[in-house]
Amino acid sequence: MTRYLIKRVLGVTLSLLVASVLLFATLNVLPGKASTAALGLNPTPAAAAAFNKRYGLDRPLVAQYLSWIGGVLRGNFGKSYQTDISISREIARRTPVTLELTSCAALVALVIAVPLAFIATLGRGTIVDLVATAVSLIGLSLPAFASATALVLLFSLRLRWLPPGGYVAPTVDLGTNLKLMFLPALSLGFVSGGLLMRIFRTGIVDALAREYVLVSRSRGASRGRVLWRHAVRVASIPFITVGAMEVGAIFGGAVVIEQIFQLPGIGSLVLEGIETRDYRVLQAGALVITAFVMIANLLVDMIAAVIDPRLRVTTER
Amino acid sequence: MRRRYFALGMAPAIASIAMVGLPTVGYGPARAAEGTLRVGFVDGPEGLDPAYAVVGASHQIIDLVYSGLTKLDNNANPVPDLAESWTADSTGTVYTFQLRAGVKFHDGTPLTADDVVYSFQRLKNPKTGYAYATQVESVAEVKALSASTVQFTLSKPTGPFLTFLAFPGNFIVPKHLAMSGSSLTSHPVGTGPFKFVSYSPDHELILEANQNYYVSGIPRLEKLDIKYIADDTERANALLGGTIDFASRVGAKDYDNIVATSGLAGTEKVGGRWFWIMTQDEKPPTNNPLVRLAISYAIDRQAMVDTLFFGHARPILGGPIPNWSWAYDKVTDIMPPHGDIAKARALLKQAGYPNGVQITMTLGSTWQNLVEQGPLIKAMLARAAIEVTLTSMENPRYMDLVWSKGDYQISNMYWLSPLADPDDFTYLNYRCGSGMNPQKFCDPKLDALLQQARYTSDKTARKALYTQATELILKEMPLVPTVTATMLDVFSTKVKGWEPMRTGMYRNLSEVTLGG
Repeated sequence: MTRYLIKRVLGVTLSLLVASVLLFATLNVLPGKASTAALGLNPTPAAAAAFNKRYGLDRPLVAQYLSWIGGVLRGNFGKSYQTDISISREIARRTPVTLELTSCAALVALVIAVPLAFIATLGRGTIVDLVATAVSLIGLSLPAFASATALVLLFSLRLRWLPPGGYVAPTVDLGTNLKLMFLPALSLGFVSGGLLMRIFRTGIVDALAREYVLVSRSRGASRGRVLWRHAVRVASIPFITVGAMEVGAIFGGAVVIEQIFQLPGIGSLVLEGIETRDYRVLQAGALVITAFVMIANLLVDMIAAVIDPRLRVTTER
Repeated sequence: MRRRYFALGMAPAIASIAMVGLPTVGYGPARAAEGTLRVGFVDGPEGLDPAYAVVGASHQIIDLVYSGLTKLDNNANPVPDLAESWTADSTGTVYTFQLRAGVKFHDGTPLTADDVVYSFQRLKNPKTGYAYATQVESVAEVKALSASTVQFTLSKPTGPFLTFLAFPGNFIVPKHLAMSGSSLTSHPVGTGPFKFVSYSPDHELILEANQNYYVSGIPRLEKLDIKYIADDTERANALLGGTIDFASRVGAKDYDNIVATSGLAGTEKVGGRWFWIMTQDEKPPTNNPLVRLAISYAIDRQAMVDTLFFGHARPILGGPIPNWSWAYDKVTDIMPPHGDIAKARALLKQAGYPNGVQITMTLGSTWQNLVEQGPLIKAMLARAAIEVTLTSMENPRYMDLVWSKGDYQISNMYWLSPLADPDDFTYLNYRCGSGMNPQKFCDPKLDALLQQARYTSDKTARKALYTQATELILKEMPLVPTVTATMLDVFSTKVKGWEPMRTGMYRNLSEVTLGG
């Protein structure tokens, strides 16, 4: 298990380095120059030259990359072209917001998927199953931005239970923080919740139909014991695998959701970076999100490896 | 020039929420401290140093934090600000400004004539790359006659000179900070009514009252907590939901419903927020002025006002100078509000296109209000046998392709003039080689008129020149002006004393109070 862990951590580190090269290269070939974005459409040649020199944009791309990644490794993401603000400070400030949103969304996904899957399985073929499946299907097919809009209309403007957007740090006022986090987490988690419920339900139903399950039952094992020991454990593997992929989807969706609910997270920073061709901000934000997704995947894989030893054995050979 | 005066800014494509009349009861995030106004603005600033700021969102904040020698009143006339008074010599080229006594920068340093001299030297330095350098083109020399007297020598009389001084880009910066390399871009220090506290990009900007502000009793608020909410509907929702007290520039679709809501009110002001259709004037078919005129006659401006702006706009029937300007001349209003399809078809035929033409309209996808004009313009032009194919692209690419390279056939744009001088509606948009002229239009005769109108001090003479220029513009139709949209601000009724400004700036927030 330790060797497996070390291998995986090395793998993630390497992937991040590759991702950083890709990010740097692709962002720099996008049309639209940083100097134009920062100085206006027709900067004087002297001003453009001064700008490029100041930010090191007059050097070859490889040299630019090396000095950028060198800074990143020391925790220094440089300064924004547009606002001259330290990007590292901005990332440090925004990371907790995005992590809170995505964790809450993941929690929502689980809270939706797991009970619904059980309810649907236990009442298989009945109206309960039908309703649970329909709920998951709605979640699955409704994009997060659409459900977000509907939720704001209902809970904020109609019922007036929750604010339509904004952010207060949990350290300032935990109650308000949770109130503000509820709708974004719900709209973001609902999509993944729907998908995961279907995966989990199918897994359990499949497992329950297996011969060894029937044999256990015929030997007198209780229904609950069989469900728990055999079906759930077997169904957990595809559930966790898909769950790991959904982590990426949740981080991706967070970019839009943060914008809709005015949450000052990494996602909204990335969007602003795209809009203004502020490469440094964009690179930093995208790299941080990539790192989050990879680390989250690593954690999920670890959990899977604990549940299913086959996963780590094959890798250790 | 990437001036986000014309940009509503980024907004995720989300379905609009139908607004319903709702009572406003405060709830939500912890109640703001007494005297804190929570404001919803559209786009976050991109740098707060006057000399380097390019976009309108930056100028909005610079206008609150710094001051200029002059400022514009609600109707855009220049009045004293840091300069208490001034005299001009008989040639109109030498201006002597007497600075107000006892003015201090936010760091406590007194303002002197040296700061004024330095600020303008910096703007004139080509290394600065001041995006609005043409405004200070005619400033030949700035000299401190004493600690509180500054003399400007102009190379030629300049009509809008006193108005230019009120443009946020030309505001006065503290020499000692700018020289020592401290970043005014991220930490602005000025002499304005509000002091900069903090900025989290595109999320929140906090300003507090400048207790030493030179106008006594101003600002009346203790703090401005500015939230950036790019999407029109979300900004309106934030006000309806009570998480902000004041929302700037709400969408025309939402305005009537918001002001009909109890506890909420709004102001509508006609200013310099005008829309136009851009044509590529170098390449066929729009290099032919007759085709451009045909496009202009095919547009039903009143329909645009009614359907896209829900009545909160005015059709532009003549040139770009708005009808509230002193330079406006009614004789130039020649376009029928509903257009004239027969005339458009005739013009097209005369241009050598008896069977009509096909053109592509390129749209910048992040500007909701510009994108939504596309289908309507397409339908209007189709009636005159101008078949339009719509295409849209992400904004940076759009700016590069259309605005930098001029690689397009027709497009559309809007702009909010921060100066409201007739020069500001014409000089940059129509002159040969100007950065605001992606039409690549060039007529030396029009150039000469606009140049002369800018560099003449007498108002009557300027007005006559602008009438001549407008007549020429209406013959050549280098771009097709469509409508002037009003500026719509909405707020809680506890916000007292808000007066909207023609320039679209928000310095008047310093005079606002919060009632119970």
